[in-house]
Formats: sequence, structure tokens, C-alpha cells
Amino acid sequence: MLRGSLLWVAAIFAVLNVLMLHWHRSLAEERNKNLLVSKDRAPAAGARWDLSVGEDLSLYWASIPDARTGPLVILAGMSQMYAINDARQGDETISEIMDDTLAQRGIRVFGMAAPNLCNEEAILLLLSTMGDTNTRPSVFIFGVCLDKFRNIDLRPGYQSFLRNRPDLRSLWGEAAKEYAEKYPKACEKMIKTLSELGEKKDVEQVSVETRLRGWASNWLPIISARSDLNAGFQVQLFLLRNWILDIKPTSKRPIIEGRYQMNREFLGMMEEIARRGGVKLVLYVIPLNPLAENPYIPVQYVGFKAWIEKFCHDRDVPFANLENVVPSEAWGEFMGGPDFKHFREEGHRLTASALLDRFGPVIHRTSREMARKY
Amino acid sequence: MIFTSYTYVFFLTAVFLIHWSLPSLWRKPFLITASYLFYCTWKWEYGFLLLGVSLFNWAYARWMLSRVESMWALAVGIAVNLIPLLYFKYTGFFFSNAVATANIFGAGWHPRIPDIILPLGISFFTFQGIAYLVDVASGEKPFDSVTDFLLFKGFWPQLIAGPIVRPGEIREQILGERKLDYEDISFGCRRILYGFFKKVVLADTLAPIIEMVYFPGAGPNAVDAVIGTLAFGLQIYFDFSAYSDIAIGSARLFGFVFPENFAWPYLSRSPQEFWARWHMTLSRWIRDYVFTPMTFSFRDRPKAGLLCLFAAMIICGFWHGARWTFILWGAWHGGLLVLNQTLLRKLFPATGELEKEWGKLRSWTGAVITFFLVTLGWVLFRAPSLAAAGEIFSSIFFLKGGINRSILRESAILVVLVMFLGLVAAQLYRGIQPRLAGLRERLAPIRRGLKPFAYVALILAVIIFDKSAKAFVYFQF
Repeated sequence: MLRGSLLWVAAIFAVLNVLMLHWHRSLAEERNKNLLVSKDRAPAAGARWDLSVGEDLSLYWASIPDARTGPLVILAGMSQMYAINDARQGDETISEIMDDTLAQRGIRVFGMAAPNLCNEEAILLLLSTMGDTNTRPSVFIFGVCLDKFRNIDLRPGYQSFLRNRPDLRSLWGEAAKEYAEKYPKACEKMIKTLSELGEKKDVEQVSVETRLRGWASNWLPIISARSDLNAGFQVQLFLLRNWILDIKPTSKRPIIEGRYQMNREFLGMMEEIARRGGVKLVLYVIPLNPLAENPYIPVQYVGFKAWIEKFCHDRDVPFANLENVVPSEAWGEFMGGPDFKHFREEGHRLTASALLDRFGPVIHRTSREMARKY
Repeated sequence: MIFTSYTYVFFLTAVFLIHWSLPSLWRKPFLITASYLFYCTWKWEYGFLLLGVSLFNWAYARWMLSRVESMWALAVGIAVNLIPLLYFKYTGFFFSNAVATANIFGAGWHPRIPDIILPLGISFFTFQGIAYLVDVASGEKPFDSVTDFLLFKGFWPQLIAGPIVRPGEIREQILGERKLDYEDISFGCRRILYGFFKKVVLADTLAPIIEMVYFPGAGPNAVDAVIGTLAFGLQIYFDFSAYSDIAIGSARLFGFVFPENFAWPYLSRSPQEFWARWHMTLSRWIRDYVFTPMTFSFRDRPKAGLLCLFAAMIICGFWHGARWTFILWGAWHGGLLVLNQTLLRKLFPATGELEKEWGKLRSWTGAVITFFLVTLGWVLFRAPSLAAAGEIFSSIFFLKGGINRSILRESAILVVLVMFLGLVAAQLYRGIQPRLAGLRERLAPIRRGLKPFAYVALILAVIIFDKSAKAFVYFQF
């Protein structure tokens, strides 16, 4: 036995597991840092936004204020909504600040943001909240920005969320069927998402597999740290890609036409789903650091803003362009330069205030109507 | 139960430990029970189908012994084997084509196309059953004991997706005494680990990239279509060879030596060589049980051999799936093989010339052209419909979008290119390995020392990349 590798492999693997016991905590912290989460993933009770940032929404689902007892506003978007540069104790995010203000009038706000949230994921958030009377919002505010139109697909956290909710899966499937003619690419993608979940469900529903994974994770620290190791590895790959292709936060990134079109379809579909479901959809273009160079090709960014403004005008969707509401001093630094997308707490206050200024009347009016209706 | 699942690792470990702890008399029945358990975890009802087909083949082969002269007896046996395959796999295809044809003539017929669940591995165990009857009819001795036959037919490592093992290759191993030795354990574990790595880390990483390009209405530009197709060529190789690795490794842990299924196929210097290196046990099957009998029946007309080759490859394509795209894929490869022997004979080196120095340039050009042609064929294999395949081909050949991408991000392209270059480098290294024998000898102690670390790195990669066990591509065939 000793002349071969088997025993050595077992020994090295055992040593690595022991090392992992010590290393896991710092890995998890590193992962939180990469997700730009500045708060501890505190106990779910009392949370006012999805502190798992899309990785395990079900943990915070019970924290969504009860929509049956008062109007609810959902604020969905990307990392800008929860990341706080140079965070201090007691700093609040956009959704918390809005909740503080609106709660005085009986309206509650809950934040559902995740890094690089794409429009397919926003549809998931809309459908999931709409599908349950406890979480049915009167207003669904969604912050959009051009580079998120490069992304499609649900992240693993949202995939599990969808997989574990049969009612949501059927809503998802029905929506994909209903809008297939008008939004063919988006609906085809949704059907594909669902069928992939079906494949995984077959595997994961086998309780033996789930139990074995849990058991292995209890006994082998490397398996328990698997997702943190994976995240760390992905970051290294991301940095390697940036190094190879010389991509910096400010590098100009052209739109990817097929993905852009699909995201436009998703947004159109989202508006129709919300309208038919009696939820007021509100869109805004997120603030950008005026002093930092952004990665958009100017002509494409101008075209995007013009398109979204027209889209909202044509469909009677309340809209605001907030790209200039946060002055340069309220931002922070990212990868050695000015951060163009995440700000300090001051930026959160300014954005919340701008949202309340622009959309306050709509929120109040819709909430009153909802209250009368239900 | 999927090979790359925790359940399988647990199952394999448990069966391994119990098997070798049992008295040798009980080992075969135990392996048969374990194999049926493995099969029934997917859909237990189909376990009866497997058992029924197996018992039929065992009994029929023995009955046929006294009628070896009768072609009818063999034909009936083959037909009985084909009935389940035709019903489960091809009913929908024939029915929908009949409906479409009738509607062309204005029948206005819109019946519900039956949606039949395909029993896992049916294509493989049907082929194995047919081969067994043909071999017995040709003089091969059938298995006397039903236990031996059930083990031959149902042994789980080869049950779902091959390698297609023939009775002659495994008879002695089944009948004889098998012993546990360190070399077998080491070889088995190594192959299983390679298989896990290829599947979980390589093939499953490529899967979402390909799905993005090939999903209906995706509208890929030329760059997307080329990268997506290249990625699929890599994915199917990693995926299927991973399955074969795990099958071969698992079998070895029980003392069985299975035939190899892949031998660096993308290094092939001609379409003919490709089929000698790709899915080797299927190629052999098609050659021996389809092509050879066909050419034999046309032995008076030598030129019909090429037609037989073409027809055999169409059957091979149709075996892969009940879709016109698979039939065309088979026809594409049939065409390549025919051209390889006729018009393009001078383009590709003949098998005997491969090692000659003067043939070097021709070897390289042959390899590049073969890779290009095989990769183009993958479009037909992967596309969900002829229209989708047409869209991909038109994007590639009309350079849709110029150098602009419509779907893929830079990172996806980078991943595909890195894997492709990695595979090329591995193949080149393999080519020059004999010349480095001296150096390898000198570095042997270091290599031995580093090996365990390399294996641990592979295990770590598998753990880190594992999202959840994803079905193997070849399960659908």
C-alpha cells in the first residue's frame, strides 16, 4: 500500500481538512467582502432587506413585512442598494432609509438586491412576491443600469428558491407560456431555466443524495466550505480574466446584442406581469459617480437611456433618471480608483430621498388604492 | 443514480466492501442485485424490462444453439430485442413524421404525439443483446448459467452508456476467480477520479456556455456559433469519456477489465482514424454487426461497400437519437468516411503511413481538417432541430455579426479557448512523450512524489466545482 499514492492521497486530504477548520472563517469573511456585504448576516428576524444578497432568499422571506396589514413597497436592484463604502456602525441602506420614512405613514419597504441582478432575476422577485398575499407589494421599484443588460440566467441561490417553491414554478411556467409570442427570447429562456431546474430537482429530491451531502459536509470541513472555496476560486478566475484581457473597472464594455435584446424583452414582460397583477412597477436609472469613468460606450449608454425613457413613457411606467443625484464626494474607492457604482451612506440617503421625492406621490396613491381594494 | 453523485460514491464504496467480504460463491449474485438496485433507483418499473430482455436473450441463445444454421431463428431473436427499442425510442419519431407527411397531403390530422419515457441505457443493452445472439449464432459459446449471463448483461458500470462489452471480452473474467489486488484498486480509483474531474470540472463548466448558444431563438453571431460548437465538441468528449473512465474504473475495482472507449480522438488524422478512436466499442459494434453483414450480402458488387459504409453510419446516427439531426449527423460522418476512401484519399494519411517521417505535414493537415470536419458535424448533433442547425451553420459560414458577439461574454470565450488549448497541449505532450523517455526516467522520483498532490488537487477541484450532479449527455441515447 505504501509504495503507491493511495495512502498519501488520503493523508494529504486529511491534513487539508484539518487546515480548513481554521481557514473556513476567513474564507467566509472574504466572500462577504467580495459580495460587498458590510453587515453581518444577522438573524432573519427584523431584517429589512435580503441580507443573503440573493444567495438564500428563503432565509429572509419571513422578514418581509406583512402586506395584508399595510401597503408594501419592494425595492429591487443590484449591489448599489446594499453595499456601503467605508461603512460605519449604524449606517443604513436605501431600502432601510425609505422604510424609516414611509413606515410613519403605514407603508413598509423591503429591499431585495443581489450583485449584478439581471432582469430575469427581477422577474423572479416580482413573481415570487406577487404570488403570495403576505408579500404582495403595491409598488415594485426596480433600479436599472446598462451593464446589467449583459447578464442573463438565475444565480444558484435564486435557482434553489424557485426549485423549492412549486407555486412559484407554476407561475413562472405560466408567464413563460402566456407571453411566448410577444417576448419569444425571454420566454424561451424562462422555459429553459425551468427545465434545467426540473433536471436538478430529480437529482436533489432524492433524499439519500441530500442526506449524504449533509453528512459529508458535517464530517469533512472541505466539503462544508465548498461554496466559499468555489467563490474564492471564481474571484481568482475573474481577476485572471481581467489580467489576461486587460479589463479594468473603467474599460469600455460594449453591449452584447443578443443579451441586451433578451433583457429588454424581460423588462417588457415584467411590466406586463406587474400591470396585470395590479402592482405598480417603477423604474429608475441608478446613480453613477460623476467623477469616475464608467465602462459604457457613450453612444450605447445614451441610446439605452433614451430607450428606457421611451419604454416607460409608452407604457405609463413611473420613471426617473437618478444618475446625477449623488455628488462625487459621496462615493468611495474600488480596485484602486474611484468607485463608479457604490457609495458611502450619504449616497444611500441621497438616493432614498430622490426616490421618495420622485415616486412618493405614486407610492402613496397606489398604496391607498390597494388598501381600498383589499 | 448518477455516477458523479455522492450517492454513487457511497454505493460504490459499500458494494466494494461488501463484495470483497463475501465468500466468492455469493459475489456474482450480490453484484447482480447491486446492479439492479443501481438501475431501479432511476425508475424501478424498467428494471423488469431489463430483466425480461436479459432472460429472453439467455434462454433464446441456448435455444438457438441447436438451430445455428437457421437465419430465421437469429432474425426473430434480433427482432425481439429491437421491439422495446423501437417502441420506447422511435414511436414518437415515426408517428410525428407520419402525421407531418399526412398533413402535407392535406389530411388535417392532429393527434397527440405519445410522450414515452425512454428507459435508461436501452440503446446500449439492446445492442449488447443483439451482439450476443449474433455471436452465439456465429459459433460463440453461450453462457450456461443464468447468473453469469445476468451479470454480463446487467453489470452496472457498463449498463447505461457502455462501453459495449462483448461476451468474449468478459466471459473468462465472469467465469474465473477474480482477486483483489492493489494495482486494480489504484487503477480503478485513478480512472474514477479522472472521470469525476472531466465531468464535474470540465464538461459541466462548458454546459451553460453551449446552452446559451444553442437554445431556440438565441440568434448567435459567427463568434458565438464557432465558440459554442467548439465548446460542444469539448463537452461531449469530456462528458462521455468521463462516463467511460468511471465505468472502466468502477469495473476494475471488482476485478473486471473493460475495453477502452476513447483514445485521444481529436488527435485523429483522418475521419477513418477518428472512428477508430471515438466511442470505440460502438464503432466496433457498427463495423461488426451492421457494416460487415451488409457488405457480405453485397459481396458480388465491391463498389456497394461504400454505400454500405454510408448506410451503416446513418444507422449509427439514428441509434444516437430519434431526430433528423442525428440521421444527418450519421450521414455527414458516412459521407466523410466515403470521401476518406475515395476523392479525399490523398488528403489524409493512410493508417500505415502515420508514423512515417515524410507523412508528418500531411499528418498535421489531416488532423486539422479532421478536427474541423468533426466539429462541424457536432452542430447537427447538438442542435435541437434542423432549423436550429441551419441557423448555426448560416452564422458560421456567412460570418454573421463580423467579430462582434451576440451572446457570449469574454470569460466564456476564454474558458473554451483555455480548455481547447489545454487539450491540444495534452495531445502534443502525448505525441512527444516517447522522445522524453530519458528525462521522464530522471524525473521519476520527483514525479512519484508529486503524484499524490496532483490527485488531491483533482479531488479538491471536483469538490469545489460540484454544483449538483448533472446528467451525462449520453444518457439520452
